[in-house]
Amino acid sequence: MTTNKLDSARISKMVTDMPAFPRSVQEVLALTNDINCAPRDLVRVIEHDPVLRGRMTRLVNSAYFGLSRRIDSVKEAVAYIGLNTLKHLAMSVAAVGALPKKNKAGLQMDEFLRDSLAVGAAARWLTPRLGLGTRDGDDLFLAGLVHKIGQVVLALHMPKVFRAIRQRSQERGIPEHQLELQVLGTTHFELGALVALKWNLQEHIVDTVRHHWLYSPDVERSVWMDGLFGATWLLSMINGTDRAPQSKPMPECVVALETRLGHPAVELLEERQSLQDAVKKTKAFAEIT
Amino acid sequence: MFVKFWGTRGSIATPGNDTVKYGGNTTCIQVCRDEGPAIIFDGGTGIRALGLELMKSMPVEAHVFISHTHWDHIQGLPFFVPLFVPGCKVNFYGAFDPVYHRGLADILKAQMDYCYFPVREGELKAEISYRSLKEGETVSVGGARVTAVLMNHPVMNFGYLIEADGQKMFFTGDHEPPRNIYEPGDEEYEEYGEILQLKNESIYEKIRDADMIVADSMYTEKEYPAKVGWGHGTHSTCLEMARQVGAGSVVMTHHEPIRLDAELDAIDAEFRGKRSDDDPKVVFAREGLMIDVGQGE
Ligand SMILES: [Zn+2]
Ligand SMILES: [Zn+2]
Repeated sequence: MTTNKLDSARISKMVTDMPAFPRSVQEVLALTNDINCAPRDLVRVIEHDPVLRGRMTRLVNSAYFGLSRRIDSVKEAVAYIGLNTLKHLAMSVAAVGALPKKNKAGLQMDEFLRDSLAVGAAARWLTPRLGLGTRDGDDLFLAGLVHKIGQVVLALHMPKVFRAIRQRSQERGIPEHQLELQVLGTTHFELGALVALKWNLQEHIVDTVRHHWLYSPDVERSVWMDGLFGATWLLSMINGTDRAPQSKPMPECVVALETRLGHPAVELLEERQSLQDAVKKTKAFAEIT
Repeated sequence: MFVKFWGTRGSIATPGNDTVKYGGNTTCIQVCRDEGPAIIFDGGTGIRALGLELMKSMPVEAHVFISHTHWDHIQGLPFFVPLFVPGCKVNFYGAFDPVYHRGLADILKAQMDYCYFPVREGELKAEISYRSLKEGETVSVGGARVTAVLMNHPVMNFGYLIEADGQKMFFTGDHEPPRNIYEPGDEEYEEYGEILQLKNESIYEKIRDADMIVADSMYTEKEYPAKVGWGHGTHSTCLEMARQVGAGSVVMTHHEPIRLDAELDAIDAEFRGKRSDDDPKVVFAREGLMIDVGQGE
């Protein structure tokens, strides 16, 4: 394969050209990250974005929620299901809605969305098992949703190279990120982190996208990195590596995850049914919204 | 119908000399009737002793309604002996968690993860079932009807209305009366106020004329301003709810962990002093207390 090393100007242009995160989504994320956010501010942001408002009311009125009466406005939704629940739902709905749905070249966006949702759901499923709370669950879900966004950047800007790498990876069983490094001098992890940065996602989420899969002695493993690593690893164990092969997980990453869990990671596979249910429900959730 | 309190404490168990009268175990309430299987609201630490009591007449059939899955309402479940005994039947009911997309089974099984507890859920010997209820759904248990009512708490929380033997008893689970998110003077203040009224009415219409309400009265009026949004009521909001629906009595429970016996005695005396003739009876729940739902004492 011919190399096509990316310099920083090119990378920066590619990242800048990515579709913006809708402003309302950024506002929802910022508000939901603020534990003291004023409820009326959240209501205002959702009310003023017709798409988000439509998604939220559709969700709250769905069978999934099973309320006995119809909810017609965002204000009613707060009053009926409570601010906290609405806040977490708004975060999920906003984040899912912000993922790019179309692209012209190379990458099957349906497949990309499915994978991203699955990893987000698995990361959230892991949250209580890592001893974390709902807000960390939101962060892990978001990290899962965007963890492969770097591949979208490549597919959009260098469709040929992207396809060639994917093909070679499948033929030779070489992980994509290794080929990316050879050919481009960077990885989709790095590009993904830059997109996350552009989208104003919080620093720990940016770092998680960048480092979750590859251990480096210079980077202290955060619980979010371990969580996202665990989610990706679990799904690859369950689904097999029928698509682009993952590299073998690095032993250091596994050790870090197991230290957090307090037991061998393979024990999580005993709960595969519960994990698969969680993934299925998240996909259903994404379909409603 | 009688109600027996096996756990009256909110948030965390508080054993000790100064809590011995009102009790240190977290929420667990048993409905006692002449016939039919055991009906239990919440599985806080109080459910351990209740399990031992039930084991005296085998085989046990228990229907456990979980208001929500905060620790203080489920922490006793791994120590509920009937779960371990072949031939016993335990049916759990509760809300679906829309944030984590998890049903009750998932949540309770996670509580028995090996890192938290030495016996796995799969190793329990009783016949166990889980059912996620929808808002307003009614379940029939041995001639009693139990209806889930959506309340206001940081997670989905069902209050449960039980109708049996011609009487009605309502348990709120954890509940903070929802507040206006706007300030007086804001354009939306009144509109939101009307929505809240409808929300409250949706609860009241189900529990109107209840013989007894068992309510989350974690805070005093004085403490409340620092706890807004934490999802709990005050003694006054509970009394007000009971007045609004014309309940015969209101039982204050889910006592704040720092509240010692002497303080609860004092609050009890204060409420007795203020009570007017047509007010509901006010009772402060204490561990071991058994109350006749019709009499309120
Ligand atoms: Zn509680
Ligand atoms: Zn609670």
